[in-house]
Amino acid sequence: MKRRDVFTAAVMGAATMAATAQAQSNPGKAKTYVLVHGAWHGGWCWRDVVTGLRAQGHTVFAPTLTGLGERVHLMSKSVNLSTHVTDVVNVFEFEELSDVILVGHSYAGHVIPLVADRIKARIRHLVFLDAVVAQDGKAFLPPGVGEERAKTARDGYLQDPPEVPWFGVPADHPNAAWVRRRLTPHPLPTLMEPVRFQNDGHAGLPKTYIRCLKRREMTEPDPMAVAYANNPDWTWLTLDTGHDAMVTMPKELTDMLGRIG
Amino acid sequence: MMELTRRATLATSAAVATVSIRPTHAATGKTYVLVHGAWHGGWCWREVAAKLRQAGHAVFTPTLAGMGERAHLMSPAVNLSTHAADIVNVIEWEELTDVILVGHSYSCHVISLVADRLKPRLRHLVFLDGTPAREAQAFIPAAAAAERRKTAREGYLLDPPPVTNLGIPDGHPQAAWVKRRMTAHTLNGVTEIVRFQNGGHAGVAKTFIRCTAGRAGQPDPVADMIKADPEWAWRTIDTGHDAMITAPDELSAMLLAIT
Repeated sequence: MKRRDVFTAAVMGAATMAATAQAQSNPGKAKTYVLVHGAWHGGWCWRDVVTGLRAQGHTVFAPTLTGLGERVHLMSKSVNLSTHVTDVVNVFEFEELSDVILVGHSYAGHVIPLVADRIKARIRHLVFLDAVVAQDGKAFLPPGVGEERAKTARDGYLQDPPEVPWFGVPADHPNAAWVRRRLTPHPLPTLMEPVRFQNDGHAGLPKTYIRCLKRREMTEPDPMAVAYANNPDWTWLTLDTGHDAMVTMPKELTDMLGRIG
Repeated sequence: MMELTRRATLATSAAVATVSIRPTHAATGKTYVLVHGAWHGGWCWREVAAKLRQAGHAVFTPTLAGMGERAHLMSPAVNLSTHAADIVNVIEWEELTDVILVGHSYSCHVISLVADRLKPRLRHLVFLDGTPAREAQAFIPAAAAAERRKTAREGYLLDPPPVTNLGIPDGHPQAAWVKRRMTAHTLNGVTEIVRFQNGGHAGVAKTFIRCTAGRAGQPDPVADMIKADPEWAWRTIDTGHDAMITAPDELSAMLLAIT
């Protein structure tokens, strides 16, 4: 019911926006976005957000990290966090991007601060979408957890995707089947590599944290809110949806991203 | 990258099996996938992609493994099959149908193989100034391949040529851009023997675009073959080989005209 309305509105919205793309295009305010997906996902997950932002006249890149999505045939045990950071840094280099609004979802909260650490001058704003924010010296997983998971992982390093409700996409959501058929295994080495900043990571950059309120673990208080809601270095925004907001609330997320920077 | 070949095979066979498709990116427009040639990357389509998107179309400009922003993934295991899987998987993961698939130069081989794997998903093939793949042949003849291997860096990497070889005059405003972005190409892309399983590009509507600058008076056996075949439309642009760099307006107009 409500979910269907949201979905229909998003599709209709995207179609309308595409039709009037030229009218809305405003080179004076055109911005450049790089959207980085989370674990198990690929650039595909940003489909509706990419369409929406481009319809607003912006330049948008949604690269897929090595070994995931359409890059699944390049998966190997050697793919780690550093590989994924280079994936994104190289998009900046080869597309010659500057003044970028860099968005990371979920696991990519580990990727984008390392990108910022390496090419800070090219970034205008960092957006953490329901993401785990990298901390210097720490890996995504606590010590020992990755090693434990590796014991049952496919080929010793691949974690199969969880069911879509784990991502905040209800099993009967119109986009649930889409997400289910596109998710690919995620490599454990990316979650076990400790973060090593050489230039203070994301320090000094304007940052926004977008919290998806329908959380998997409803611990109170929300640890992310504690860290970032009243932090002068951060803007705190919320969306009343699950973790995969680009899937379940693309129109609202697009509008939110469009207003940043 | 040791498992690359096996995974490429798995991914490709999985791709063929999927049929369930959702609405595409631009509900109102066409879908273009633009595949760069040797030494290039998705970056080379910058202006063409912007023009097509401005006209309301969905555009994908994937970079082949080991090149452009994927240069850190180069290895001797990357070959023509890898590059075909790169594109097959974009169509699969983005769930694209009715695709206008454009290949430049070397990627005329890549898109021929993609057509062989995903024919029902393609609406039109555009071969931009490159040779369509032929069954049981490689992009370059075996003798030439053996010769190049002797001088290739690390035994398989071909460094980029001068931009003038690509039809970009040295004083061209975009020459410096192309020069600083080109990366090494793998010999293993151009030496792999093509094996079609479904007749290659046969049965798909096709356009060949010849970049004619500097070709006056030269024999063009590809032109002779294509002009004699009713499956093909023949077009020309009076510019050099890198038409997306030197003639983005004309090239975009030509791509937009494809229905």
